Amino acid sequence: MIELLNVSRKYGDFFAVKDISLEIKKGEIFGFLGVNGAGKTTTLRMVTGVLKPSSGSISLGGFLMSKEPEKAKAITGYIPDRPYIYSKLTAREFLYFVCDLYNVGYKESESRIDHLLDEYGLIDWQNELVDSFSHGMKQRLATAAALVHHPQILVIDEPMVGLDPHGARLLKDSLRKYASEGMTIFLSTHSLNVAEELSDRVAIIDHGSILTIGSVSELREQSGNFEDNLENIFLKLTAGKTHTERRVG
Amino acid sequence: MIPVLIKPGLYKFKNILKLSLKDKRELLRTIVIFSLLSLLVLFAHFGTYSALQALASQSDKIFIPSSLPLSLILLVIFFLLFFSSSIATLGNFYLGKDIEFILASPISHGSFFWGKFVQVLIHAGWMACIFAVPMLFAFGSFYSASYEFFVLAIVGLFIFLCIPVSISIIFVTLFAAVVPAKRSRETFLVGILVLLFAIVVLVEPFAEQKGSDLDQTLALLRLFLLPEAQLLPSQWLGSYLHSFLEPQVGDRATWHLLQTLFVALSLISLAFVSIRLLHSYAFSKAQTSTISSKIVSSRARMRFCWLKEMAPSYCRAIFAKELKLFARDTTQTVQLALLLGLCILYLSNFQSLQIGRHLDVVMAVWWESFLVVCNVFLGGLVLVAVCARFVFPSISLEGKSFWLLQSSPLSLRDIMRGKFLFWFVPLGVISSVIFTSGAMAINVDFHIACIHAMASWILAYGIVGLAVGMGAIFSNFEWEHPSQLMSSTGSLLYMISAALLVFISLLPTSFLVIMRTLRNLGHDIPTITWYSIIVLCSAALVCLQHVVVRWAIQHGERALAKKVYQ
Repeated sequence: MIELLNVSRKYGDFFAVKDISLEIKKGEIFGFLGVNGAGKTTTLRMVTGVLKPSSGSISLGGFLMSKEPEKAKAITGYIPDRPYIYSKLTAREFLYFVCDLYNVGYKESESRIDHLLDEYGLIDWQNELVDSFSHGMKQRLATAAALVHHPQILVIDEPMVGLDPHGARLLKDSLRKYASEGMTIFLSTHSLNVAEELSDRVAIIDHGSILTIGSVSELREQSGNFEDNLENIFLKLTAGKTHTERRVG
Repeated sequence: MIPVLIKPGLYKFKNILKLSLKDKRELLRTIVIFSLLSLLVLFAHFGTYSALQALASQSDKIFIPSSLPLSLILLVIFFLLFFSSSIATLGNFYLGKDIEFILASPISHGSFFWGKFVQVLIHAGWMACIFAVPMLFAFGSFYSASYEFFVLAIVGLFIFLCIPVSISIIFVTLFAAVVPAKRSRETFLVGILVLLFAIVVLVEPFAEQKGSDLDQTLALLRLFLLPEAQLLPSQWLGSYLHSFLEPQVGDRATWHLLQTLFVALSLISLAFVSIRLLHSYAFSKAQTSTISSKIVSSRARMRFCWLKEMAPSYCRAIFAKELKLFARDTTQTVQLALLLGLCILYLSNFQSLQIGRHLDVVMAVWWESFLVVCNVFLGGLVLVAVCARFVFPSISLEGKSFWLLQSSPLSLRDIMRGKFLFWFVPLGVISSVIFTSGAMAINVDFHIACIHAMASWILAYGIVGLAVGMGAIFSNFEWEHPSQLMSSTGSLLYMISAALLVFISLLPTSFLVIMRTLRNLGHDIPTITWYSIIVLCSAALVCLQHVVVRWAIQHGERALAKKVYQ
């Protein structure tokens, strides 16, 4: 469903992402792990078409992002780590706007919006300006917006940032449910618990390159210690490689 | 010595300069921008110089002391600066993204005030200086003034600029402290309407009495502009500088400079006191008032369903979003009200130029034709001013929310097309109202009124398209407050380009008007030739606008792609 082939992204002489190739299957939850500045957000932004790769190709649902970006984006939902939303729109108006952008039919969008506002606990706030929302509420609204057009692929950057325990639980349950219904989910996180709990497979990225890919049990096997949790595996693989974050793109 | 709040801006400027020195394309872009600005400075200088020469050549008929044009220029700058610094004050003192961070830091009231004061002065005043300094220097060159004049002109201008900035800080602070943020738009609009009504009521009797011949019409225009009113700082500085230019005519009025300095210092002190006493209260009030802003409207109205059959879904989305954001943004509403006032004053002034009945028949016909062309030109400039405020920044105003449009199934061209369509229709209506009202104010016949209406829509097409395209070329998503976008170099370059477009568009329009005038004066122009001229002039006007819009959109799309994808 998602295919990255030799994808690189350069800023001047600096490689934010270097020669990444991976394939994510339909209905799979794929976790992208890395320290700050490892290249997670840059990769996700390239996958969603927000950023163009310097080289390599990205295909979503069979549509090449470089050739048919509109078609690829139409089947994708994106939740950035810091979702800036038009502050002078109400939650409902914002969702109408997204429905119109993705050409969701009028009747269908009404029921879909009602359902999502209810699911993400925003129904009582639907006529309030986004201006007055907390970070967690904005995050939930961004999640609802990413799901409003029934995407086949969902790309999430740091899904749990700003969510309270209830919100986090709600999102985890939703993601599992959507994946079981066939949605492909590509999430980046530096929270190892989240990755371990949710992901079918994970990739660990460092300095723009993928160090390893596999399910948590496969990674345990690779590390040679079957008792290791993901945190230990991650620390072993990235030992001594913590570096100052360089936010790019 | 440098206020601490100014330092980030200086670092930013330094970093941009460093980066542009590293990147050849950026360097080229910077050089082009600076070259265009230099050209503008030269144009302002030599344009003023030529105007002074033309005035001097008519000195045997009418003597105009240099203090009058000087005061006039300074008065225009004063009002423009008051408007733009009111917007900049709102942004820098109350709505800026850095305010919370600054207020949470142990910064003194004095540092806060000085930092923000200088920011407002720079944001609102730099564009005025680009025009004012070369104009003042042109006066100095023309009258062969001593070096003292050039130094004191800059010092005097700086002191003078502090006055409208201080007044706007006091005005905005009092406004924010007294009026709840929820009601600020309505209160401001009512205030503007009351002011306009008062102007009409006060001026109308005077216009009826005096608007009888050319001299009295000019006297009426002077009443609107008030360049010689003794209580205005523009008059004080004008008189002071005049004493250097024509020492034999004017007295060496050092007192006027001291008067300007004293008033500037008093107003700055008053502005400081108002910030010291009221800022935290006004800022808190502005914050708390916006929190419970519940908006309930019918679902159908919210989605613009009536547009369903007429425009693609994404256009409807952009229409609905733009309209709601525009209507809910206090800054935009305030600017719209100010521009509305400007349009009414323009039309009111324009009406008073209708003096054809005092001229012989031939001259009256040519005078009317001249007014028709003037109406297209001035109406076009008003439209440029409106577009520079609202359309040019529309892409940059997406700010950090642009990710949403980028990740949606829309191309950059679709986004630009949506913006263009949203602004074209209302601005076409506004421009046709301005153009036809101007035409009606000078009592033109039905055909000319139709030509005005047609020209207004065609010009609106070009000016709005150019604004969207250049807005994309100079897009900046990292603004602290929208007022920065309107006072940017890109905005200035847009205004120059659009004014140039209006000027070039005058060629086919003027040709059409001249041919019609000749026809009215009895020259033999066959009907077929006349209609061919109408078709050719209209086609030339349309083609010109289309070529400009195409160029702007193409380059805008390319520049935007480079900015957001790379």
